[in-house]
Amino acid sequence: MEVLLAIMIGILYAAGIYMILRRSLVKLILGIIILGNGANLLIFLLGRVVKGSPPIIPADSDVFQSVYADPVPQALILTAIVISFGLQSFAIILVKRAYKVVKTDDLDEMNAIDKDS
Amino acid sequence: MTQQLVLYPLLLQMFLSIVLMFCWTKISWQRVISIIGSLINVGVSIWLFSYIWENGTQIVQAGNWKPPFGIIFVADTFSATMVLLTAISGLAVSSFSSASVVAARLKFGYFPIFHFLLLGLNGAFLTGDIFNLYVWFEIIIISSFVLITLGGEKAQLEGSVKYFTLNILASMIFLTAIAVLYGLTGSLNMADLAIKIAAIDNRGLVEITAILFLVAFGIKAAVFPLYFWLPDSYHTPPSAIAAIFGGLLTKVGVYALIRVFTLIFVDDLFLENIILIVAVLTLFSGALGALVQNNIRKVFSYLIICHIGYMIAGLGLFTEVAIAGTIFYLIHDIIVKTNLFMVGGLIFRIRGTNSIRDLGGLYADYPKLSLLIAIPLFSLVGIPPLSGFWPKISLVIAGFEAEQWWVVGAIIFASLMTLIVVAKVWAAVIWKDKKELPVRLNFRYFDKLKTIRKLR
Amino acid sequence: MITPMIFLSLVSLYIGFGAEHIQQVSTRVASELIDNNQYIESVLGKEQIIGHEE
Repeated sequence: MEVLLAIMIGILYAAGIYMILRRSLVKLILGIIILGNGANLLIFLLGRVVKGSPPIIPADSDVFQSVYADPVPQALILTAIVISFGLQSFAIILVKRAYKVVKTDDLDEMNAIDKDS
Repeated sequence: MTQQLVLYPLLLQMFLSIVLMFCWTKISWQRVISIIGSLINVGVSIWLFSYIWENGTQIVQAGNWKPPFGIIFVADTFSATMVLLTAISGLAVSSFSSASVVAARLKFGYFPIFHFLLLGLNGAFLTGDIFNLYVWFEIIIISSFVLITLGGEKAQLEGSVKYFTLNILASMIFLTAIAVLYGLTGSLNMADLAIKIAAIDNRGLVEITAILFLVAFGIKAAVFPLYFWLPDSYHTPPSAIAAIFGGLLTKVGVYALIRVFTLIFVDDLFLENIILIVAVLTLFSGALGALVQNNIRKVFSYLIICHIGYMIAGLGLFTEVAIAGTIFYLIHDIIVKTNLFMVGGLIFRIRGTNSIRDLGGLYADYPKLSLLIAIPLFSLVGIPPLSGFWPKISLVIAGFEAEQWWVVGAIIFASLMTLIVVAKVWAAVIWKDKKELPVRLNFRYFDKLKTIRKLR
Repeated sequence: MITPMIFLSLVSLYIGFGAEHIQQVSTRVASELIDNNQYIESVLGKEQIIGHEE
């Protein structure tokens, strides 16, 4: 399970970075989304994928005895997902707007700012 | 009353932005509320600073969860200083933007977002939890995205595509670094991390994590190989926004670098050397970049990069004198860079151009104003009684003590280059004879804002 | 528009001419940063540090 996840995270990171390096704006956004998913899975993996019960002490004992699953990574992933969702939706709108104004989705042709100096 | 004092700057900014949202269309109210709120914020920050100066580090635990389990806010003297500086330049930019940013932009929520940005900055300075730091960074960048694109002019959109790509990439790397750190230690509290990292035997893995943090914060702080987004985007938005970005946003990256590399990853010769090399290259590339630019706001953008190099160099030397120099430089730089971009905006307002070739004759027309412009420009170089001189001398002394001659050389070289750049700007903009310029509209961007026209 | 510039210029003049105050602040910050035990102690309390050193 861990090995499988690790390979998948590697593929996601590689694909994301490859997509970010492309010149097309749409591929740029896809790359960012893939990279974000890779990072979220990485938190999940490094929070240790173990079979464990939730960290709740049963009513008839005072201490928790068996292995418990760490709840923190899930909270972290949830936060990160929400944040990256917001950023990605902003990015999509921005790219659409930029495409309408600049009339190209090629990053290399977006150099009007270099000319007016 | 003083128990939750650490949280007051945060709560005040959040309260302000919510109140401002209720006055969405009444921009004259927004101006007044923003300026008064910023004044109150300066007062609160001075209170926080003096309280911490008297009583030492204060912490606030969210929901009374004892550290290292809960999220905590920590205000030591460093955080309090940064919050105070944020408040001061926030006040300046708030009053500057109520005078200089046109009503069409203000109608689309400029002030609420501006105060959200300040909220994010204060949060990043005060938090004591590394994941919480990530969340504050996201608040900062999402507000800065809105501010940098507000208006939707062509150059602005092109600049912001580069800006947002690199900043999101930095956030992802930061998140990756947090994931690895959590996997290593199982903790997120920065103080707890410091203890647990020191106890780990596998130093290679710790160094890799540290490099991930260095890259993530390096992109935000615009250090040497990762600075290209900055000069491409900082000259596109209105000068009030550029002022707060140039003054504070890159400094958050520097703050995070200083915090992480003095608290969590310490006593590592390899990392200190990497930081020093990066610092020296940043000094060179920023100074040389500033020399060849012709747009004054681009010149100022490259000078930001160059001067980030000083702070990173102080961090890399890692002696008490060097860190003191870094902190002093940070204090000086936030004030001066904010002022400098405002100067750029003022010159643009007067002359309608940013090109050094076309500008000129400012001294003949506005002698008093030129004297005012002289103060930030020459503070930047560090002419002795002005503010840039003292931190530089601390850094040079620290370099001599550590016998890192090449760092001393780079600092002096960058100082000289800054002098040449500033002298060039001064001669061309202030002293040179005025050129006859074709009549141009001052706010040429707004022909693109069709939706806003309809609203009017 | 010029008021905030005058304000910031005054602040930077203060930083320049009142450098001893700022130097005090930055020296104290630096001494806090160099010795990270201070930060850890004020966050986690004293016992944790002692436990770590053993």
